[in-house]
Amino acid sequence: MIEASERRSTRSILCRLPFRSRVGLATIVVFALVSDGQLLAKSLVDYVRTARPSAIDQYLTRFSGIRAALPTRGVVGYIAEAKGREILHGGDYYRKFHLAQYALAPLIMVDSPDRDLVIGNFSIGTRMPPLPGLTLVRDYGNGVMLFRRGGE
Amino acid sequence: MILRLVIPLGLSVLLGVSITTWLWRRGSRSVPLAVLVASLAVGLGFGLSSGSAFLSLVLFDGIGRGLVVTDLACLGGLGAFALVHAARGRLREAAPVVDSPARRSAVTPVLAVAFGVSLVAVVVRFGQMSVTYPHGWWDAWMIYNLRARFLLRGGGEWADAFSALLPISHPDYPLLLPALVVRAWSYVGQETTIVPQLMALGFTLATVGVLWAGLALLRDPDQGLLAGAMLLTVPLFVGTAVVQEADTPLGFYFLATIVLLALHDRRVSASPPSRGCLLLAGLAAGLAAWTKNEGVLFLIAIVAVRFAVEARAQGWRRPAREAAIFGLGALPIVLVLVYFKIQLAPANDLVVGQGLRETSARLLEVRRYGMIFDTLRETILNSGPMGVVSAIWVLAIHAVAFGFDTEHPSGRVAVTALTAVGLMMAGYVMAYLTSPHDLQSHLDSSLTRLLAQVWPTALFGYFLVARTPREARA
Repeated sequence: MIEASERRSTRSILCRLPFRSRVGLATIVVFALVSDGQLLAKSLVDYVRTARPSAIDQYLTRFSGIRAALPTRGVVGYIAEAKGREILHGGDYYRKFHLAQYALAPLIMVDSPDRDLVIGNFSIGTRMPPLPGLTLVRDYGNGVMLFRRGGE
Repeated sequence: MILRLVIPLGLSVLLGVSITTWLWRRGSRSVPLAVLVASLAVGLGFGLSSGSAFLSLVLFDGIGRGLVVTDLACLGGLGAFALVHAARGRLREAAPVVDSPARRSAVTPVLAVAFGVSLVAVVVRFGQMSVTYPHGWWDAWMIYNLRARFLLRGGGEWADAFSALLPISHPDYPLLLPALVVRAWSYVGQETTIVPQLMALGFTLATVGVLWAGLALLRDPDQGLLAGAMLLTVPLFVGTAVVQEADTPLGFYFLATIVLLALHDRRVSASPPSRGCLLLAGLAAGLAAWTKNEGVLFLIAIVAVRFAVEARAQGWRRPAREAAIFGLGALPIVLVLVYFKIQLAPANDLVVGQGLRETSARLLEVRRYGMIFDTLRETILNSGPMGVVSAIWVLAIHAVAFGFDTEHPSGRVAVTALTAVGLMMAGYVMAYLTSPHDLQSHLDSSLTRLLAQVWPTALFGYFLVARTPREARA
């Protein structure tokens, strides 16, 4: 706790600050408080809008069924609906591909159907036309399918 | 589960505490010194734990019971070091690390409110983002948490995590964060998202703690509060910190290196030279290199800049001796990194994509310079709270309002910090110029994070030489 005398002396320090220094301090304090207010408001809005379980957790559960049918390690192929724009990050195609990889690690997924086992990741209800060289092993009913290279 | 989390986190902090005993002085009751030591103990302890987890992976062929052995060996070694250090009487030395920090002034309560509200806002944002994105943002789950899953689930085949078939997840990146996460998962016994969330929060608060305490010790508490408020209110730092990416830990190690160098310089001016701060600075720089590839650039830049600045001021003998001690601190982590890069990591995508003809063509393409400059300018000018005013303008107003103390004893460290940040930025620009990827996408996906890495160090360098409110009243 600041003593009364000290408080008086510190008040005088504030008064002795040059005008421009007071403006400088006020700028930073206002900047901080405006930023904090915006951050708190955004946090509140985002929290209210947040799905539970989170969108990513909901997506990851898509792969819980196929996981049991896959080997514990190795390399598998991946096919999905047409690729979006080829960009380094972002884009739905790549997001879904990497989320599938995240769900199925330590299995390594390659973005190609040229593997013995191939994971299909489609929108729910997609009716797949026959894929050349691939045989459907199982449709998990949520857009996730398992294919095997070669005949029946 | 919470109780199980206490073991890995507690061991990490104990590791950090045992190594930061260099900074303690018996009888010191300085709050900033306590905050500094606690913050360094968290960050350095996390880093050392990560190294211990990696040793366990290599020596015991997977993460498991061997982890307890390497953790206890590290803790035992550093604990013995701390005991020897204490027994040699260093803890009883009367000389403080720096002079006692100045007491609070009239503006302290105002600044403390601004700083406190900012801290609360960031912690609230942390909580909300952890609920909304429990696995973190893109790079967090696509790189670091994915790697941690490979290391844990892979068992004896943990090295699959570095397969060249996973190019987008950057399997060549150093392992500080994934090893730290997998270590805690191993102790807890499940892949809980709370672990990477707590690590991210720990590094963020430790960064704030080191910035505030460093400036409170070297300048005064008001300066620390001003810098802390500026750090916490800039979205490029907060936005990166709350999403579990490695840029905040990297920024912590950059800042810790510079603060420890500054403390070393202030200590030698008041008492016999101490190797402790230099060794710890080297360790922090080594851990930066173990966090991300940019950390290797920092390690080289800080050694070169520090040597050049100090040699210009006092000849080359003493800076050379200091560089050797700094290098000794970094050595254990650098050896771990070299082993990782030689034995496990595939080639880096930015390096693989180079060739004399391709690289020359990129360097000669004027359009690329314009794209980099425009994106850099836009990112910096939009660094204020959503659409208000850039933090750069606020700092410019502060500079005009307060001016600089060019004669301050820590001036050379400020020059070192800001020059190292400048060199880092030059390195980043060169990486963009020669990037084999689509340049605009590369810039859009990474520039904000790169700026977030250097922002705490740049703020520390700036506020180290800016006049304090107390000095400005003259």
